[in-house]
Amino acid sequence: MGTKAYFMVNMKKKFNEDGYYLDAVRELEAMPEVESVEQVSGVCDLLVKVDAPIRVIFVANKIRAKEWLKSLHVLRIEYTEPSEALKPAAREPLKTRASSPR
Amino acid sequence: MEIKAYLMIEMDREDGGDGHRNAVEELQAMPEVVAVAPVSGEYDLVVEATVDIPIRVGVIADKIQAKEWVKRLHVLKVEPAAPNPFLDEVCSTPGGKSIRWCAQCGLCSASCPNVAQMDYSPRKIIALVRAGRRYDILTSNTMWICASCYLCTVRCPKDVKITELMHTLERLSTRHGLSYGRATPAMYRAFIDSIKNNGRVHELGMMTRFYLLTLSTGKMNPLATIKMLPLALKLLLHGRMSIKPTKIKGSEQLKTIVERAQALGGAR
Repeated sequence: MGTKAYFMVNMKKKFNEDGYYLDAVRELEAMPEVESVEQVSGVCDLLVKVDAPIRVIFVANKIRAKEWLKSLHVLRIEYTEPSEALKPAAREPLKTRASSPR
Repeated sequence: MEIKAYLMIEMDREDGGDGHRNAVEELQAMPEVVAVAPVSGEYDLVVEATVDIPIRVGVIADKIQAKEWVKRLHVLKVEPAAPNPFLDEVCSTPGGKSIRWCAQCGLCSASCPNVAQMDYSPRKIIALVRAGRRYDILTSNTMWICASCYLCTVRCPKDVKITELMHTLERLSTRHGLSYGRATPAMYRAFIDSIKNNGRVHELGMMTRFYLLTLSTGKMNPLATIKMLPLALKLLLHGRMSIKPTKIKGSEQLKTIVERAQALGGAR
């Protein structure tokens, strides 16, 4: 399991037309580290979920090199411990057998 | 229709560490919430939610905004996915869905004994299918060079059915008329025609048909036919090849089977 992250991607205005837009989505989808690409409306144009084998920044830099990119924000998914309800029941430590005198 | 949205939340930092966990649990308890991911960066939480009607996205956003630990909230509504009809077409074929699992590790290309002759390696072909480059793929020679040795399929760590994908691409290329002039599809056609007519291969008829199919395109050397003549004569003299085609018993049934397969989607 690698490091997971969301990338909030904004595209340059001149590339933000249908043809280029689809090409950009497909370019991202063809990257092996990319899990999913969602076309969104809001503060960014694309929300990319990645699973980087080593470091997220390497994948981010690969995307930053694209000519259509305006800005990219990385939101690294932090590992969280499961909540109490999901944790397995605490087990008592096994009692060691008292050594019998020979 | 299901509508998906991402809610990007910045939390009020005064709450401290425990408040963060409580917030995640609070969000997970909401029925519309599919997943909550604590993140580091511009925001603190990414919430994935699905609703049945668009207006509900706003309702959920308002509900979360009302919580005291929310400092800032941005909604990213997912737009309908970009259509990729070629990927859908490939995925609808038997074993075609498996190309979505490809991790682009390149083991298939490294295993392929014919990769040096191919326009695109098997790994590239999968990437191009995902990118929807129909014309580039269907006019390439990759699938026609594939020897169907199944080495790529056997070695693939993700169980991608690469050989079946190659067969699918051959079929699509023929169906869209993009295999014109290639020797391999002409050989397939000559073979199938011979089987349909006689139930077995009639070598003389099949090769004549094959050369006629390829010569008409102007891409084959006509001298290649003459080069084969001494061999044909030897085979005829030794009785290994007959001038007249011989039919097998039940050839009509075999013809029906082939026609049925062609009607079901096989390349004609």
